[in-house]
Amino acid sequence: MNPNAPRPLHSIAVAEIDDSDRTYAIRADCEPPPELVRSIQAVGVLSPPRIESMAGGRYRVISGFRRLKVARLAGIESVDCLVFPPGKESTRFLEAVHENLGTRRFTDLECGEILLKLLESFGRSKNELLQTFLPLLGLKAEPRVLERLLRLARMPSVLKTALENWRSDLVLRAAGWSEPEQRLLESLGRRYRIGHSRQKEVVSLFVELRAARRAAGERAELQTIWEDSGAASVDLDSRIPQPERLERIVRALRMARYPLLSAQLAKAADRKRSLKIPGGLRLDLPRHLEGSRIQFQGSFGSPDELRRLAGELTRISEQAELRELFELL
Amino acid sequence: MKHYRPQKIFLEHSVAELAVSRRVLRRLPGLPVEMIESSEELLDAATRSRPSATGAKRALVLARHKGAFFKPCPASQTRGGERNVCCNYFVVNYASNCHMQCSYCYLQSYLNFPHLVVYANSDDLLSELDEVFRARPGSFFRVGTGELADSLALDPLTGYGKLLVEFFASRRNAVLEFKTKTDCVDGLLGLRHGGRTVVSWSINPRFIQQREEHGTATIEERLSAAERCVDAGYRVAFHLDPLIYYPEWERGYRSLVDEIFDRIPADSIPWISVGVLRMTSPLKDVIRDRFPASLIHLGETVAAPDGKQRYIKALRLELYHKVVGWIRHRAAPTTGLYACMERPEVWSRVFSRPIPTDEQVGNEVTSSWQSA
Repeated sequence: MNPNAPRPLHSIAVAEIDDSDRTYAIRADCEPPPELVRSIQAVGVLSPPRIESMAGGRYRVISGFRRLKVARLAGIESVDCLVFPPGKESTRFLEAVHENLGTRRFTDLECGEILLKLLESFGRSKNELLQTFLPLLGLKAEPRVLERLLRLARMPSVLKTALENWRSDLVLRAAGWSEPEQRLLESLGRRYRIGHSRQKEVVSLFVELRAARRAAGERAELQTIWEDSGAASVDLDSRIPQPERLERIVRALRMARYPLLSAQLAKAADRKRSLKIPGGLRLDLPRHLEGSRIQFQGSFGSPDELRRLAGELTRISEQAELRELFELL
Repeated sequence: MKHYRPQKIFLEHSVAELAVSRRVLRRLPGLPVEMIESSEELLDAATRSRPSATGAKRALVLARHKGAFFKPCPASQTRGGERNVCCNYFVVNYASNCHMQCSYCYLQSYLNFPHLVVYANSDDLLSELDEVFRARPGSFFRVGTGELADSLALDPLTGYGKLLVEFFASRRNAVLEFKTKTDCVDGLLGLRHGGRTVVSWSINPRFIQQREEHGTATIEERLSAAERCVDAGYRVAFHLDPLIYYPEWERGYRSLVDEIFDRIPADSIPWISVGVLRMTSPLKDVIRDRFPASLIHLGETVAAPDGKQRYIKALRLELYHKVVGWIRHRAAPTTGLYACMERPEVWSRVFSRPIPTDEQVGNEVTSSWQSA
C-alpha cells in the first residue's frame, strides 16, 4: 500500500488545522481573492484542501491555505479535506506546487518563493533549480532568470505585499531603493489606481531623473526628486480629483526629466490649436516629434462635406502655424 | 595607455599552428595556455556563467572564424521599417570584444560572450577579401575593422595590422580603415601602405574621455599617435562619435575640433564623421547599472522610430549644427564630412541638402581615391 496515499475524505474541524505552519505554502502571505471569498460564503469549500496529519491530532496544510483562511473567517466549522500521513517535506511541497500548477499560472513572485524554498529549505542545488524546476514552472532555464526570481523572493515581505499589484520587473528595480523610496512608491500605489503601463512610466521617470541628477552631481533621492519636480505639491492638492491628480503628477515628473521636449511639445500643441482644425479632421504629429511627416485623418458623409473639408485643408496649408509646426520636426 | 595583456589563453587546436596564433604566443611567453577543441562551447559556457564585464576579458581566445569575414556595415540595415542614412561602409571582423570600458559601448549589450576573441585564420580573411575585390572591379570598397573590436588594441599581439596594410597597399578598388581609441600604431609606421590605409580615431573632448572612456588612450596620446601616422605618410581620420551632451559641451567640442586641426594638416584628413549618442533601451539599462554617474544620463533621450534611444531632435540638431560648423570652418574642401546612422530628415537639415543614398555618401567620402 502506498504510504503517501490519502486516507478517505474526512470532515476536519477547521480549529484543528494549523494554518500558521507555512512549511508547504507557496506564498509568504495568502490574501484570498474576493471571488473566492464570495464563493465560499455562498456554497462552502467545494474543492477539498490537502492536509497532513501531525502529532497530537492536529493537521498542517499542504495546499488550500486560502480556502481554509476564508472558511475560518466565514465561521465554517469543518471542511472536507484529503488527509495525508506524515511524509517527506520536500515531496509534500512539490505536491502542493503541482496541484497549483494544474489550476493557475504562478506570478513571478510565487515562482521566486517556490525556488527559494526549494533552495534554502529543501536543499535543492541551483543547478537542479535551473535544469528541473525552471522548466517545470514554464520558465527559461537561464541563470539570469533564476537570479532575478530569487532576488524577488528575498525582498522584505512588507515590500512584497505592498507592491503586490506592481509589475514584478518594477518591484525588482525598487528592491534596490532605500526604504523611504520604497514607501513613496508603495503610498502612490495605495492612493492611486495605477495601471501597468503607467506604473512603468512612473518608475522609469524616477529612474531616469535619479540617473540624470547623479550625473549632474546633485542629490538623487526620490523624495528630493518628488519635491523638486512639483509632484509632491500636486499630490497634496485635494481639490484636484484623484485621476487628474495622478495625471498631473506624471506630467510634473515628465517635465522635470524632459524640460526641452516638454517645451517643444507645448509649442507644437499651441500651434496646432491655432490652426483651428475643424471637427471631423484629426492631425497627428510624430511621437516625440521624431519624424518628418504629419498625419491627418478625416471622415465625411457626402461629397459636399468632403468639399468643405478640402477647403479647410487648403486654409490650414496656408497658415504660418503649419510651417512653424514643420520647423519643430 | 595601459595595453592589453591577458592572464590566460584558450587556443583552438585547429589554429594552433597558424601565424597569428604563433605570434600571439611568442608575444606572451609564460602565459597559461589551454588547448580547446572548439571555442563555441567555451564561449557558450562563459556566456551562461555571466562573469563581470571587466573580469572576463582577462582571457584571450584564439579561434577559427567559420563564417564570412566581410559584410556590409550593419548600420545600413533597415530597423523597424526605418532606414538611417549610412556611408556605404563594409566591415571585416578579425576580433570580437574589447578590453576598454567605454560607458556607452554597444558591445556591452550586443556581444553575449565575455572573452576577447581573435580569429587566427588570417589567410581565409585575405583570400575572401581578394575574391570580393576581384569579383567587383567597378565598385569601390571602404572597409573597416572596428565593428566588434577596436581595430588596433590587439595589434601589438596579433600583427593583423601589418597583414592588412600590406594586402590593401596594392588594391585599386579598396581602402582600409583602422578605427581605434588606442595609440597602438607602432606596428604600422614602417609599412609600405601605398596610401590605401587610413588610421582613424574615435575622439571626444578630454572631459568625456576621462569620465566615459575608461582604459582608453588619452586624447593627447591619440593625437600624438595620429601625428606619428601622418609623419609615416598615412592619411588619418576622426570620428566625433558619440557626441555627448553635457553642460560644457560647446566649449569641449570646439576645443577638440581646433586641437585636431592645429595638430593634423587638414589635407591629411580624408573624412570626419559625427554621430550623436544612440543606444538601444537594454543598453541604456546596462549603462545605468554599470556607470550610474555617467554623463550619458544627462541628455533628454527618447525612442526614435528605428527603436534606438536618441537625444530629442532639437538637441541633436543643435549638437550637429554647431560641431559640423566648427569642422567645416577648419576642414579641407576635400574632406568628406558625414553623420553616422542618423535619421534622414535630420541628416538633410544638418547638411542642408536632399537626403542622399548610402552610395552617394560613400562615393563622396572616398572621392580622392576614386578619381586618382
